[in-house]
Amino acid sequence: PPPPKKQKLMTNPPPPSPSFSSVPDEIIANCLARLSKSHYRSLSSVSKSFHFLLFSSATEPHLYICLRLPRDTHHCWFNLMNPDQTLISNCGEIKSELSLVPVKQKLSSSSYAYAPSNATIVAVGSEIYQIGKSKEDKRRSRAVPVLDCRSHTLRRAPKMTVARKGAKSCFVDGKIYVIGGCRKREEPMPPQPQRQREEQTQRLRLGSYCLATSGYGFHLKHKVVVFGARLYVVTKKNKYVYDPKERRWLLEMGLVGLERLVVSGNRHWCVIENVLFSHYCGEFLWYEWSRGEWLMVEGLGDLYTKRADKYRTVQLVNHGGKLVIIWHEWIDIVWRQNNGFERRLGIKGKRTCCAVISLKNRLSSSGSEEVWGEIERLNVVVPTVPNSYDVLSCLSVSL
Amino acid sequence: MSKSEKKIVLKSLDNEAFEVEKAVALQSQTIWVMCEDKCVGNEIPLENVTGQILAKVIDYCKKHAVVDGDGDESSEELKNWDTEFTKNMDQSTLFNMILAANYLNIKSLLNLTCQAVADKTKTIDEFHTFLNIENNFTPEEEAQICQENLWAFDD
Repeated sequence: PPPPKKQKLMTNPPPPSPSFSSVPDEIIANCLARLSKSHYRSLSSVSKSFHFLLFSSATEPHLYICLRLPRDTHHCWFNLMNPDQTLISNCGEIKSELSLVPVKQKLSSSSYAYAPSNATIVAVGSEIYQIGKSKEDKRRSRAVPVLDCRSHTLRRAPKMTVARKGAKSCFVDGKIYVIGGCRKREEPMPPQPQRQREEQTQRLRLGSYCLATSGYGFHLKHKVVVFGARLYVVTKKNKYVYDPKERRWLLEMGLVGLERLVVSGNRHWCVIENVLFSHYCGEFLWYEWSRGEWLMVEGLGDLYTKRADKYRTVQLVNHGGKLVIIWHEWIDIVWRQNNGFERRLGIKGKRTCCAVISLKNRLSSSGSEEVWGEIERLNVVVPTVPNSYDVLSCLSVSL
Repeated sequence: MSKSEKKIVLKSLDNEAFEVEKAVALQSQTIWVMCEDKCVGNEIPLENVTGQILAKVIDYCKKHAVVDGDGDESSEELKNWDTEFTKNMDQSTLFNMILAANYLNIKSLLNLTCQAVADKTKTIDEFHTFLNIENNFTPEEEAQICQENLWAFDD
């Protein structure tokens, strides 16, 4: 291609040689994060600001929860964290409290972001991408609002070519894949397993990220699971697999029992280091891919006994390799009467609980693989907002 | 689409004008937003970037522009090009590239230039000289840091 046409009008003297200190801190942190940790020791004595940045630049997973508050049509983002502002993490004290701390967004969230439900949002680095509108919304949208969790500002990513609601999205190998949620007439035919068809991709430049949009129409109830850098789309009838490297869809004939993900009442699942976890009939299960079996996660007895009888699991989240379970409990409210007797009234109170579970693979005595969970913390979330909120979505963002 | 709609003119701080393909310029999130909002005409003034730096940024964007249909031709080649691109940049150019990539919001370029800084500086002395940073620790503070560092950052 020909070189750009230059029209030189005037030239200023070259600017003075800049110092690295003139570069914004976040960029210095970006550079420092690329150095081997083995250099940190010596680098922390370069200068005071470096010392500070090195100790603050290590990324940690932060839990972002989106709630719809009662009598409020808008949604709000919260961080689930300790009162001392450190999030639940490796260094968090097990007994310290957890509470919901509002995220102070610098832009009014109502302007163009919609209430995001779980599958329509996807975390990429320190940002949360929201792909179109939620299933519950009346209208579809092409917009992709992005919440930058470092600055808590919203920006707009390039629009999708098709308006969607309730689309499923996931992040694989540097690209966001968007599946389903568009109008019927905009949907191409479902994948034909006999004739393996190329996926239609629309690639939009998005910083260093691409939006790769699958044009195939899937029913709203489909689930998208990422396992081994492949996308599995699970519908009630079929399972499809998409390999981003080969760029083609195939009908998956194996993986017996994966359909359980789309059975009603089984809305919560997550993948942690290639293990799929799900909540089914009160138990936490993991999926053994090679044999196609759902097996119990061992070691969670305490969780089952401490959980109230009436509960509803609302989220399973991969939180930096740990399993975070969030559930609501309905408990009896005990009223103290004037005469000193306690009387139980029929009023149920709702509270939110959170458990953080670290996971280990073990071999059982019979030689089969087992997944063991160790309960690192189990908290009732300290109520800071009226407790009749709905949890719309929850995800873990590394900051 | 007429020819003029496909092209865009970027104007640097020192009034150098560059006419580039829209697809090349839109890799900058900042320019993308400006175009999307239609708050500018075909000519976009970039007040924080000099012509010398902007020329380099455009070189980068041209190389990385998504080719119609398939942008994945030889990522290996692209990587080598990236390495060559930053290899011989002096300190001042590199900083200005970082600032430009930050201002223009081109994430891949920001990552590339930050990586280049990380690659070029490994020791304390390199940081002090190459990055032009003064050591503002007092000797006592420095001794204390060294003491603390004995246990910190162990893998």
